[in-house]
Amino acid sequence: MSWAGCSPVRPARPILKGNAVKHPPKSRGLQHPRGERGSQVVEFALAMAFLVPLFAGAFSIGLTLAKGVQLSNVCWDSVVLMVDATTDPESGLDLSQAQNQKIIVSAANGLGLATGSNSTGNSVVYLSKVVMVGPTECSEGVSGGSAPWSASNCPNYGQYAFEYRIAFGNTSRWSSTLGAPPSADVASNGTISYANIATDTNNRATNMGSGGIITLAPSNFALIAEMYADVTSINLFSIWNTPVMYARSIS
Amino acid sequence: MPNPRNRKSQRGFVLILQSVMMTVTIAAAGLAVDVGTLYMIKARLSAAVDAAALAAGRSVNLAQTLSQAQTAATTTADQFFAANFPNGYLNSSFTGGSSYTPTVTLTQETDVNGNPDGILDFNVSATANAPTYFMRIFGNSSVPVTSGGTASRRGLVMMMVLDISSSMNTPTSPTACAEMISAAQNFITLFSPYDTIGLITFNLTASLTYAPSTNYGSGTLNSDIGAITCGSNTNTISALNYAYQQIKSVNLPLAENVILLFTDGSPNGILAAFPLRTSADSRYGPAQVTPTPSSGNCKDVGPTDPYLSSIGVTENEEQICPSMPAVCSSAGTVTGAIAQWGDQDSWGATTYGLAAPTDKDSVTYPTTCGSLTVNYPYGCTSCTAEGPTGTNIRQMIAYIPDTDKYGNNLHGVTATCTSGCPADVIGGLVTRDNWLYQVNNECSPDSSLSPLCKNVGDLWTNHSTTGTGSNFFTSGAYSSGCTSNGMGTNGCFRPDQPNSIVAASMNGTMSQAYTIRSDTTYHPIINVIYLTGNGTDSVDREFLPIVANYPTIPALPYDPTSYVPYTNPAYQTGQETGKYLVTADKTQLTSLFAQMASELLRLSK
Repeated sequence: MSWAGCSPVRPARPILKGNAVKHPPKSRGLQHPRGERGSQVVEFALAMAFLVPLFAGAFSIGLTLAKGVQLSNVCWDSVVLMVDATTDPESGLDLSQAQNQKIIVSAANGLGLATGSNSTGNSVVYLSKVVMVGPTECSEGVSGGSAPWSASNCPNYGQYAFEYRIAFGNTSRWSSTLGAPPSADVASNGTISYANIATDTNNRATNMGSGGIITLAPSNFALIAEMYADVTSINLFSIWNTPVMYARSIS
Repeated sequence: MPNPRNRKSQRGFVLILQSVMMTVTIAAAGLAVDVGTLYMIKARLSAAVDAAALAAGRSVNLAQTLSQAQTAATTTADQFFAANFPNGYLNSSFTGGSSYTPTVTLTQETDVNGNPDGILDFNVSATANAPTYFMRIFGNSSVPVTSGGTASRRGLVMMMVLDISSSMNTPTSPTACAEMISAAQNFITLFSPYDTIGLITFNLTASLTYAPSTNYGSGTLNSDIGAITCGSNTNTISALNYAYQQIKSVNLPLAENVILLFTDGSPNGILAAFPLRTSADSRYGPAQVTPTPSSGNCKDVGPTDPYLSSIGVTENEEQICPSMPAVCSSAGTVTGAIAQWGDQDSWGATTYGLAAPTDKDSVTYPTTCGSLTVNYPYGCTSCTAEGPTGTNIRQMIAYIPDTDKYGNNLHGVTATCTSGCPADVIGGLVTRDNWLYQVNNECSPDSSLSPLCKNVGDLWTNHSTTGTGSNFFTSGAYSSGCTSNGMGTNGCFRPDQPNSIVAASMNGTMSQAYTIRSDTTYHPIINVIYLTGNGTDSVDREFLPIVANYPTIPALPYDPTSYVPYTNPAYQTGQETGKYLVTADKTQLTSLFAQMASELLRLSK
């Protein structure tokens, strides 16, 4: 064990001269009995050996919890905004617009989220509205068709299809667990036409239904916000092999 | 000099002190971890119950009965809760098992008097057991965390107002009437049994076919729609007014109160206290006697009008009867509904009436008129609504008054445009006073459309040689004394000319819609589906967007691709904006009704 750097508390060694033991002149520093010399340092070292990992772990867990809560809150806030955007467009909340995306970006402060689609940020947000195509969607989307509906007269009948998709942040690094609608189907404001919902078989969402994210009744829909974030900056002692957090909220 | 005994007694003190401090430190760190976990579970649980409550609120739209709605709410809440709060989230657990069904309760909000106000609340609560990692040292291995969420669903009160006039019987196989019935039956399956839905059907008489009620899926609404038959005229004003009265009677001011108007053409019915004709004048027949005389008070003058001649009009009733004698010697009124019958043309055709405007009204003709016994039209000894001689009503009444029985201005509705107004804005009103219908043919750019071309109407001043040249009497006893109108005269509105009755009906309908939308208690919304091009009516670009208070005037299927939508000249920013959908394809009705349902449910969520 090195004592380097501990000279202020290092006791002076006695000088042997014949049989007499002569102590060097008293220094101005602390004087400790021979048996106690170094005990404080040892105790300090013992304590630190325990405390440092404890505090580091607590700090790391605390940061992780904080980021986890933040990610979760961002997703929930995004879902709430999406409720407004998709069910009350008159409110003017078009989440395809950068100024409205900034509401979410602000909530994700410190996570490296940016508006628009890019390939350099540290996080991404996917906003999706997925519907189980049923009689309502077929009625709206199949021109001249009529009930009873089936896959033959309404190709996406009984399937999960996208009604809405907005993505911003580093979209090139992470993909939605739901897959992606054809870009040609998605209007500039994120909406997808009734016809594409009902008939475009490429507009189906994945990872839904039994064993997936959620099972929906026909014509019921779910608003799903997903967020990925790279949290390498808080990965102290490399606790995680893959320092990426993922959160999802469904409404 | 320090005492060695004291020194000895101090040995290990720091270690003891640190041990004590370590206990406190570890406890504090442990508390932080446990509370942090607790906080995350609480936050997640809170989001999960909120999502469950919102989803439960939506799910009731997928049920047909109240019991189905309760089941759907619970099932959906469970699904959304589980999706947001997976089993075992952060090692949490639930009392009684690893999975959990949140508690869902539905309650109707009430006003201060205890009456339902139209808001339905979905309350969802859930309790999870959050694990502890350090606090379990003190015997607490888990801490229960409870969270509750409430979603409010604005109830819907909707009166469907369906046009069942005779034009709905065309084209055939299947008729537009049959397509409408099918679309409407599908439409009502898209709403919640907690919504209140009623049905008004209308031709010359508006009927309350299904009184507004909840849980209509267990009622007869579907079969009532299925039993609809189409025929007769189009008294849109009375139908809208009747629907409005039903909304007020339901009395749920915080609900979304909606009138859904479906129609395939121009309104042509007017309810008013019509002045009896006390002066002889020249007007369209038929004569009051048969056979039609070749001279005298209603001689057969023949098709002298160039336009009539070009289309071969020869029917006697479509001729002017000069100096038609009065039916009354003193002033009086007769109240009921009249309608344009047959084509909405600018010459004779027929006027029809009197009819009861609604199924709760009746019409009684006066037995005397001043000192004279009422000289009923020929063959009519006890005139009843829609009797065989109802077409003679135009000899009996003098003119169409300025306002109808509901107080609607029969000359139009207030214009809101200040510059660049369309040609039908005159004297501060958007009016059809000066409008001629069966002219100005436009053909659709879509060659598959049938019929490919339709009249869209035009200012009468651009067709000065057609018919009488005006919707008002320009000569004779009733050519003055009435309110100044869009034609720049104060002649009275003609009751004997189909074109004029349509014009007054359109004006009155726009005015009735304005009155309904002005209600600041119920804030009614008027949504409109227009099946255009059906029957013989001219198509109208502005009329129904104005009724719906739609911000713009979109293209009709008959407009050229170069058409540019323009601002609704009567758009009222202070009133509810309605939805307006138009098609010329009857097979699209199911889709349009479904789109309207989506719009309504979107707003009520």
